[in-house]
Amino acid sequence: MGRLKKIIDAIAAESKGAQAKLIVARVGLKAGVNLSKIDESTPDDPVLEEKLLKAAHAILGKPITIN
Amino acid sequence: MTPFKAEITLHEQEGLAVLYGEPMIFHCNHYNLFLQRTIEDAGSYIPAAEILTRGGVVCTYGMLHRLFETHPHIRDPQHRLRVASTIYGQLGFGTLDLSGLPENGGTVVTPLTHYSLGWKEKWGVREQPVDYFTCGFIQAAMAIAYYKTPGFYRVAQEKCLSMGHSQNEFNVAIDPEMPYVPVSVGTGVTIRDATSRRKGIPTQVDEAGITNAVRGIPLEGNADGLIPAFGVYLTRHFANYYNYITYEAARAITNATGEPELARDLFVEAGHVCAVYTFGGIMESDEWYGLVVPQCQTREDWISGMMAVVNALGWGYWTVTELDPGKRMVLRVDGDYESNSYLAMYGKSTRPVSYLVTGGAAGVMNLLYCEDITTKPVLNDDFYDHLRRRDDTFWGVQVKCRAMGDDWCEVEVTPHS
Repeated sequence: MGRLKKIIDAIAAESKGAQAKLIVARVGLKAGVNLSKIDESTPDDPVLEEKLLKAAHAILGKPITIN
Repeated sequence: MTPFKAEITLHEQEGLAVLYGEPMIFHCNHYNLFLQRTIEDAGSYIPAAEILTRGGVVCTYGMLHRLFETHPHIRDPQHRLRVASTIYGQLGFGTLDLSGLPENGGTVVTPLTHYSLGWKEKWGVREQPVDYFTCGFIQAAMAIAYYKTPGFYRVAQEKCLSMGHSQNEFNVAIDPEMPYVPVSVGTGVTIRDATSRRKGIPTQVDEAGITNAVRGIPLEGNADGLIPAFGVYLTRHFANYYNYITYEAARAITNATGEPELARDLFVEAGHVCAVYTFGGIMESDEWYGLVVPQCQTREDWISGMMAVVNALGWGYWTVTELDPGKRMVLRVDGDYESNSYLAMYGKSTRPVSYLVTGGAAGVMNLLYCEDITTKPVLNDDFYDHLRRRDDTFWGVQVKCRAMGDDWCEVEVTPHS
């Protein structure tokens, strides 16, 4: 699995149900990226990765870490 | 001199309440702030502050322009500013004293506004001022008072309760660029008549009687210019404010990212927030228990009762046409205020645009069948978060939309997963 999908999964894991979907939507809106188009096969993209992590930090109030 | 009181008139066939040509609708602090935050979230790549401010200018300028056409004897700028200040408080936006502002601008100080107080109470202190709507309102009021174009002034908020200041402060200056500001679409593209062609689910409640009774409840700003009611702060806001900021933000997001649906779920969720807090607050209120509950024999009657209340809010006419209790609901809306404006602003849409309707419909189901509003739960962030984390929380999908060419709007509500 690519790192972008791992980041999205980590963001969604901060909540459950519709709330998880909405948090991911908010991160996507803040970053200006449609996260529903990112799947397991999406190649790594360090610039976009940084953008998502920054947006997630701002919205969740804490950093997201992935392996 | 008798204080000016703005008259809001009912357009019964369309289900609209109109203030000098501008459709007015009730919305609470939770909806207002959630919607604004959504637009601000895109602020790194769209002109969010400009959109939020300009929305206030568009609708306020339109309303005041028609008001002073109707009352042509009010010609003195200071008199016009006093009228604008009175209306601001009457609609629940807070206190605003524009009297004494000279033609070249100046400073306006207010102890509280709906947006500044609301943000601080809901989400705490922030780094930027929050009250873009009031900036737009002041800009339009000054332009009308001094017979200028809507873009003649610019207003910046310098202090804000939401930033930890003890009061709000707005600076009014002449804008040398005098930018173009669009004209409000007013009531937009309305329907002919929804009062006789709707057929909802069977019910024991007197829906027309409830709608008329709720229309008669005096919901106006108090001495602080606020409307505390049903556990929320209400505003009797401009439909065209919501429509302008939502659709212009969506358009700017699309232009910047190529993704027209990027904010959809969050615009819809704003409607769901509104339903949970405002509908929920209504369904826990003394008024509800006095007027509606005695007529209810089933939980489904509560839904019909809520539709009757909604139909007094100026949102068009909501009718539940199908209901499988606890599983599925189909809501039909005739003359929704979102499509009215969208059609007038942009013409036909390729996508559903009735975000408030879509989220609101899901909220009704959640209050009755996911959670249990009949037990009067405390409606707060914990309640909301719990509701949205549940696997069986309801979700709305708009399947018909007037802005797409349908005769009415329709939303189907089912469990999220």
